[in-house]
Amino acid sequence: MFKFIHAADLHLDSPLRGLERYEGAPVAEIRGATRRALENLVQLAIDEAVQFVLIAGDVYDGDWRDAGTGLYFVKQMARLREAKIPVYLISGNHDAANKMTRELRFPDNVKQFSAHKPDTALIPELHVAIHAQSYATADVRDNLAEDYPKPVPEAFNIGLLHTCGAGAPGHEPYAPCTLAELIAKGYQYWALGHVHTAQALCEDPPIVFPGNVQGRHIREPGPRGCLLVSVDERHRITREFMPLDVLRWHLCELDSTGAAHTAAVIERFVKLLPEVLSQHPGQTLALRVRVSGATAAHRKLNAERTAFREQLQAVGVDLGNGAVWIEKLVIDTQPEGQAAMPEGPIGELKRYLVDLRGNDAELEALLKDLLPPELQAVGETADRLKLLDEVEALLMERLLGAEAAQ
Amino acid sequence: MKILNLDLIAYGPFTAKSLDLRHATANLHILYGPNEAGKSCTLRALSNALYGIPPHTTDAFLHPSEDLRIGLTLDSPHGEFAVVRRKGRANSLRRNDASESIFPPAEWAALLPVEERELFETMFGVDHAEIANGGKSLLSSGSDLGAMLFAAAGGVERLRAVQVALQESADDLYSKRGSRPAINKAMSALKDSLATVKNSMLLVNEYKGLRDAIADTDAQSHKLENEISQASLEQQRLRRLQQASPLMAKRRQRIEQLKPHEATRTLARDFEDRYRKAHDNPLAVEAESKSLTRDIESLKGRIDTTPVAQAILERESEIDLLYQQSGAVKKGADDRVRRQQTLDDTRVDAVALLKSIGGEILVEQAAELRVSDPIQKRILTLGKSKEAKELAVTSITHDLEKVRAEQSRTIAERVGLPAAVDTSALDKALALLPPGRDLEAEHSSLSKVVAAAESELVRAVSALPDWHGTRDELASAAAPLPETVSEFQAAFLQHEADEKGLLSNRTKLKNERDHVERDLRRIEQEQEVPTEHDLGSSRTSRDSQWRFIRQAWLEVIAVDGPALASSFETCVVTSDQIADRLRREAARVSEKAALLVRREQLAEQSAASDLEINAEQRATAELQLEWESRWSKVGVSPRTPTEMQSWLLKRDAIVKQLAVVQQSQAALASLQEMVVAIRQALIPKLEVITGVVVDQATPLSSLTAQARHAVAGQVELRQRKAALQADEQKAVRVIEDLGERLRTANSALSDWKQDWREATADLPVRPEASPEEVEAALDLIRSLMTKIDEMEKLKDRITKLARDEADFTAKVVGAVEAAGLALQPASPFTAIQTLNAELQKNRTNRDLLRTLLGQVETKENDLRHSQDQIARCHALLADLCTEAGAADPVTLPTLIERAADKLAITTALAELEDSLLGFAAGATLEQLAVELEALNPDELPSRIDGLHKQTATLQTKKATSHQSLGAFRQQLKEKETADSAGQSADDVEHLRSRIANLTEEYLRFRLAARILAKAVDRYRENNQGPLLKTAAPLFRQLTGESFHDLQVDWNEKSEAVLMGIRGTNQKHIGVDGMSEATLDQLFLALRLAFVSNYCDSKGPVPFIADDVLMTFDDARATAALQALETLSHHTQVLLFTHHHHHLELARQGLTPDAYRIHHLN
Repeated sequence: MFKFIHAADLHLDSPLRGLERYEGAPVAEIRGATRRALENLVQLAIDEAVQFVLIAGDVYDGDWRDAGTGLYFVKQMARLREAKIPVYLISGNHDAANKMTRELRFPDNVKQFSAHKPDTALIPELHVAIHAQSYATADVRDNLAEDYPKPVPEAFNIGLLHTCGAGAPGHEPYAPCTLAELIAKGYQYWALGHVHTAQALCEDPPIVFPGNVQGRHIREPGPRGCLLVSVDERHRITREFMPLDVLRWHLCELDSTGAAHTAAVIERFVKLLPEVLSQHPGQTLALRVRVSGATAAHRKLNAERTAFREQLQAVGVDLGNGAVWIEKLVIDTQPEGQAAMPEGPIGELKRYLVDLRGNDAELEALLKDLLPPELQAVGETADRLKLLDEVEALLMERLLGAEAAQ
Repeated sequence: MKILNLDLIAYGPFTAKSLDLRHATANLHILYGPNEAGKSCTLRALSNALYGIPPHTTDAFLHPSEDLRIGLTLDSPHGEFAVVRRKGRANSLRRNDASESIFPPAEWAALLPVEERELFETMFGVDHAEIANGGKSLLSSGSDLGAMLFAAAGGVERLRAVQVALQESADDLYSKRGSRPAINKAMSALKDSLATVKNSMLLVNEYKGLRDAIADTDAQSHKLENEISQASLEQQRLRRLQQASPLMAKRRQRIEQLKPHEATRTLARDFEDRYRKAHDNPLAVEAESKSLTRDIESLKGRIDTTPVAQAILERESEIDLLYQQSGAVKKGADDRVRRQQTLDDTRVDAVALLKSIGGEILVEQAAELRVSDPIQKRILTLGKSKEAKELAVTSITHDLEKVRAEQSRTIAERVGLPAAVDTSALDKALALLPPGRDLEAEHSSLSKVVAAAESELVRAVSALPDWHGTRDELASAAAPLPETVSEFQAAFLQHEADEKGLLSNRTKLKNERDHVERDLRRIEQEQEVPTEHDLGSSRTSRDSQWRFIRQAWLEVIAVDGPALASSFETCVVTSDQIADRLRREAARVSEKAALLVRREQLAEQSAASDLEINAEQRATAELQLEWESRWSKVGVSPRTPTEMQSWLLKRDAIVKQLAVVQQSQAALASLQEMVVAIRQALIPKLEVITGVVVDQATPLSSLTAQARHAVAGQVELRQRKAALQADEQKAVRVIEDLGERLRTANSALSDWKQDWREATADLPVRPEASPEEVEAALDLIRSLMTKIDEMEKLKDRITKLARDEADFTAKVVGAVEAAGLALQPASPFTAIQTLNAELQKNRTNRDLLRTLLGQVETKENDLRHSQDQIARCHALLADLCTEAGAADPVTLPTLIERAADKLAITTALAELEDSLLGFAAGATLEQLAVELEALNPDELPSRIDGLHKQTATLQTKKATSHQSLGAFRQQLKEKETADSAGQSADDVEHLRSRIANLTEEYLRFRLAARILAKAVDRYRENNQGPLLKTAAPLFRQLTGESFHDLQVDWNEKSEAVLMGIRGTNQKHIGVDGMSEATLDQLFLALRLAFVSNYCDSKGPVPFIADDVLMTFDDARATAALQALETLSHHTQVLLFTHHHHHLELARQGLTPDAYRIHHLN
């Protein structure tokens, strides 16, 4: 019986995106999050006394030029050497693109597979054969799995591969291969990397992506970590997902339906936040708060979004015990009832907004030159119709709201 | 929509306050309430009734939130609806009927003019602050006509402020050249952070360079270390050989010295010591033996002179025990004496107590007086109950006496009261008076009311316009019904409108004709356009000439050929030219033709219009005649139907007032009759009862009071007598009861006395002794018994102590005799002291004797040992001679000396060889000798010095190399341990996120500003004409005709600007030339024009004006009131005011039937 860890996509020193710093945000807690996640991985291997560790590519980002990152990785591998734990590693598209890959010298417990042809590493005392091939360049479009060797008879055969599989949304189609091809190889376990969300393409034999060890933005939500795999004498496999992430991304849906004012929405958040925290005990969270529903506070929320966000942040600091970062506030509310088109100036304004929603050319003309060239990129990604909704709420509140009445 | 009723059922300070806004003619409602009257609250109530009561209302101070109710009755195109609004988010609106069912929110929303409260308040509400701000906003709009109309028409007086605020918000976020705005700051910080990331990066090449440098330097260091090591080794070898060279010479010398001692026997190392001991010891031991013999003799002498008494020592333990006991026995003897004294004192106390008790017995017999505890307890219980028994008898006796005295007093009072009289007749007379009424006061009050009503009636009749008859004639006059008047009013209005329409139409026609004429003139002025008629005329002329020419030619008529030819040619050319022009200028031709046709049409239409106008005017005149004929029967020359409606209302009021006056007079007479009848009934009955003659002038109220007083007196007398009788009967019953209780109490007291005598019979007290006496005797007996008990205890103790003392004395005497001591008779304590001293002395002598005997034994042992030692030394000397090969012990010192010399040379040689082996570095002495032979000793110092210098140089190089290695390693370590570039990259991302968030915010503000500007422009384009058309007459009205029109002009930038037209010279005044007051009026005019136009197109919506006249002077306030009246022709207007003065202005300046005043308090 033996145990091993299957991890991939460490992306060391890749910064967390979308977090604007504010007073009370857990800045220190998440500093160097990808490194902390790797430390957690190493500690897990030591604590669980695993027989070996597999890393299925992308240790660091392709465009990252700091050799300190590689040296840091080497240090962590040295910790595993002290614990007599070997590491089997392939380079993925990111590693292949990085100059660091060629210059780093790993400790002797690390076996990095060749990029020229598939190779097999044997662990005789465990009867384990690991078949793998690294990426030679960043852009590998060939089916690498095709040339992987035949399984070693009687041994527990593992295929270590950085691949998109049959294709995954949001991921480049590197080293494509079909599920049938992988099954046909006759290996007992396929340790894949490249797709950042944990998933099993097949249960028997297990063909799995462990996902990345640390989510880096809101599009990588939920727990991130590695797989702890146990194999018994009859090669029966159990695997357990082990979270390693230091900061967890979570989309927090805040329903404001029927709320009479912004304070009521805040009250709902005060009730919701402990529930969210209880789902991730002891975890530092980056929350994107999406406020939705039809509410009387629609205009106010849009017009005073900065103040509202600050109030949410204060609640996060207060109830989150220093472990909550409000990443972003998205206001997707609607006004209560169907706003009619009254006569008069306000009606004229509303009608104009309706016209704009159906007139892309005029809207583009309005948006032209609104932003200076250095900020253009933000404007281009903005959702036009949502922007109009926000502007409408802002204008109505400023023209008709309580402040206007004073 | 129109509000018919606003019911403040429970809201703010109001309870069941209803405002009836339903009126046939008045559509302007002035709601008056001074400060604190709840004016603002009413305003809120109206808005809340329509749109719901907000969660945090300030109006729940009198009625709790859950009880707040606002009733509202609305007239809408869908019908009339009555609802009640409660507080709450859901189901807060219910029908105001018995069912109180929930009014569906969707249906209610359909009734409202706009869905949002704020929009409703903005569009259909105005207050003085808005007007003041609005005036300023017009000025701040400058030349922006769009902004002006947008702000004024919609009530969005903050438009300009909103525009500025949006710009400021955007500027706070980003400025092209600034550094302070948030985005600029963040971008600058981003730049710094990017630089930090770059600086903190350990680039791969840099890393590789460092790594290679470390490896090279490390190799260099190793090489140097090897060289240094080699040089050091050679240096060490030469130094070693240099030191070994002299030692090798000495070794050779020692080997030569050893040769003569080859035959000398080597002796053991301790040989000499053993010889010395065997030779020297016997002498010392002899002297010691003599000294020991002397000591033994002296000790034996001392033993003989030390005495010991065995008889005493044999009783050692007995004497010790007696001596230890002597202290305790002595203390017991002293204690016995003290206790005997206490016993005597207690006996004296007991005798004294026995005497106090009065006993005639001895102390020793006093125990017979002891009383047992149960008997003592019984005596005490009985003693305590005595007082209660006696008190019961005393108390009942006292109560009996008190009741008997009260009985006597009651009988005396009853006998002394007078006899009662019958008052039923007087009661009947009083019953004639209606309860709760003061008839004379009512009469007086009603008289005043009738007089006032009469006077008001006279005033009203004389004030009725165009009426000269009596009031009765007025009441009976057959005036037209209000419906008839309304019909006429409608007909007049219709005629007026029709005529206006026709006149307007005629004006339009005239304008168009002028226009057509102008166009025709223009076309003709450009170049006369030929018509088909011109062509026809020309052709007719040509054809006529041709026919003449033809005829002349055929019939050979003499004509003026050239002239005719010329004329004909001219005609032909003209016709062709006209035809050509008609073809070429077809467009102009057709335009001219169309214009000519239109001119004719217009002429016809104008004529028709004139006819219609005349017909309309005739119809109006006929209507006027009909109107006047309707009123001729009344004898009144009619004014306009509106005025006559008012006239009718006033007449109705007078008729109603007349009926009221007449009713009041009848009531007055009836009251007078009642007063007289009651007086006549009351006076004789009262005189009978009181026996006093009543003054006829006494007022009815006073008479009534006297009668009631008399009746009350008799009732009171009868009640008093009945009460006294009841008291007497009650006293008899109480006396019987008390007598019974007294007997029982006396019996209980005598029982107690019998028990007491029995209980105290055995006590030394007299038989009648009181409980206190008996208790005192018992206390004394208890004290006596305590003393007796104490005496018994003391006696026992004294006896025991005396016995112990006697035993001790006997033992001491026995011990003294056994010791054989002749002691003088004395106390046992002195004897034991002496005996103990003797024992101690004998113990000391016994110990001394034991010590001396031990010392003698030791000395004797030492003496025997010395003699053995001398014998052993002689045997040892013989053994030494054998070992050294000597015949006699005398030769032993010489042999010892020779052996010592040989040993010294051998030892020195061995040491030398040991030292030389230390320099041989593992080789043998022979190899070392060979190595030394190969060297020239004189060269050695210079060779060693050379090697030393070489090593120093190599060490310096190695240090430099180590330093470089350290520096490279430190550099690498610093890069590794410094804040990683990854952490700095986190900072970069934080800033990028901030910039992205701020940019989104910036984009919203900028886009909002642009969209608002566009909407403002669109509003102007679409509404400018109709709005200004309605606003112009309102502005004229509001400014008291100071301005008479509003027009749009174009400034030098080709922007549309608003101009007020003033004076006969049509002077154009821009907003910047208008006074603050005029700007306010312009704003109000635009505001009212918007509402007026809205209501005309979308149906009426109530317009609410809150204290708008507050800062206006009388003239402006009157003008504003009139403008509101104008608006009230289009929709319902609610004007809230807290100035009573404005009500007066309304009465003076408004059409009476056009408005209503409502008082809020």
